[in-house]
Amino acid sequence: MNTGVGGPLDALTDEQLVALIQQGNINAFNNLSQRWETSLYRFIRRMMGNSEDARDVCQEAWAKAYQNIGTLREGAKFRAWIHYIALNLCRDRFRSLKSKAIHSSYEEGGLEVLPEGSGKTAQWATTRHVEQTSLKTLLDEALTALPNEQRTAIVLREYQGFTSEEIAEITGVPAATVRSRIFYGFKALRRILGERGISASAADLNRSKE
Amino acid sequence: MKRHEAVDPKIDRLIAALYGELNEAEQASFEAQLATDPLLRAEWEEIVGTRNLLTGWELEDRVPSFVVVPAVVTRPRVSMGWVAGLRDRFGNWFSVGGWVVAGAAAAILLMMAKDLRIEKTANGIAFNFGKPAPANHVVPADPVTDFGGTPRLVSDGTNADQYVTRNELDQQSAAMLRMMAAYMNDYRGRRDQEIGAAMRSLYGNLNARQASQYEDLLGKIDAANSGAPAEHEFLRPTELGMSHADSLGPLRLSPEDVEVGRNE
Repeated sequence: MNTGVGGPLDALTDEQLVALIQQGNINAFNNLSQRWETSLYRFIRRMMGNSEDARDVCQEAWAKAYQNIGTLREGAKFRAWIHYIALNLCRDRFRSLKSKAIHSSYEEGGLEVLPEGSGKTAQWATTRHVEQTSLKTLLDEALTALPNEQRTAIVLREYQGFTSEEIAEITGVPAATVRSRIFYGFKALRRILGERGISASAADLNRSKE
Repeated sequence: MKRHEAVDPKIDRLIAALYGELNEAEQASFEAQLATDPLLRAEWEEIVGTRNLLTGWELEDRVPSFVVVPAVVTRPRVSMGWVAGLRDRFGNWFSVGGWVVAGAAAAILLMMAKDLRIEKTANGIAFNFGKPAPANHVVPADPVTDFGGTPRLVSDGTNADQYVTRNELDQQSAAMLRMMAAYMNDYRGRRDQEIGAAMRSLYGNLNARQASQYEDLLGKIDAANSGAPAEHEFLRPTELGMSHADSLGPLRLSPEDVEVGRNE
């Protein structure tokens, strides 16, 4: 089956592909989805904190994008648009998980405290755990523990490469608020990681590189 | 008000500098302040250090693909003109039975189309099936009378009366559609009549059976009452004065009251 990947469509911009899709070209959509599927999945994965939910949300996001792409006026902003869709789906998913006391609600803000009795807080504080758990896993857990709005700002800026202005468009808050959320998110991360025995000072990092 | 939503200009500038979002003059000003402000410097190093840690968060998950396959894609419903009109008009008719009849009609038409001839007659257009009748034209034994001359054809094709025009064909197509629609309506009418007849028969039987049982009950009451002391007589249902006594009588529902609902 020709999915439109690897052909002349590769040379087209997002805007051009969106125009083709809006004329009914399915291959153009497949090309566009392959262009951004890795980036979008990683965003969702970092937001959701686990691959199972991330896969579900990712599929749903692409399906929604296909259904609604006719409403996208600025094709050049497709990447921001699909992230906006994914972010809303993540929020919906968080709300459904709220009943399981896994995440704090998006609106509440503030640093989430893990459920008492889970044993994780105490466990993470030990040096032994730091030795046994990779930095990747710790970061995964620490970022998942952040309030959603801070995690959203950090992930979109740090990993997805959006500017503060673009994040402002996606999240619907001023760019200055986005930067503020990044700052407080970093502070919270530093505190969480510090509780787990990881120092995040520039000096330490410089020493570790030497 | 949400926490952390009030923006401190100092923080704003710090993060903007971290991601290179300051212009040249703002960047120079920030760096100058960084060199002279130890508190700002400490904040900066913390932020840079935390950011550096984040670079270690790589994902190794398999990325799911999303491919739209033409055969299963759901397209927005597009109006198809007269097809949509037919669907709206006969949409309910096109049930299983409808498709069976339509399919049969189409099959018959298809079979007949093999030898279908559309001919123009004095009274309009005629649809004939089967082998054409022998032409009335007398075909000369030798169409070429003289070598090198113009051959004389049976028909030179210039007589437009012999041909069916597009408009005439369209009119006939519309007439055929109307005929099909009438046939479909007729089929539905007959189907409703059959169901109605079956229901009337059912209610008629129920009525007869109910009446018979009622008469039987009255007979038994009379038999039980004969010779019995008056105080021990059984009362007839109508003498009970009970609200449900009517239910013991024949059905009040007349077969004619039974209407067969039409799926419209």
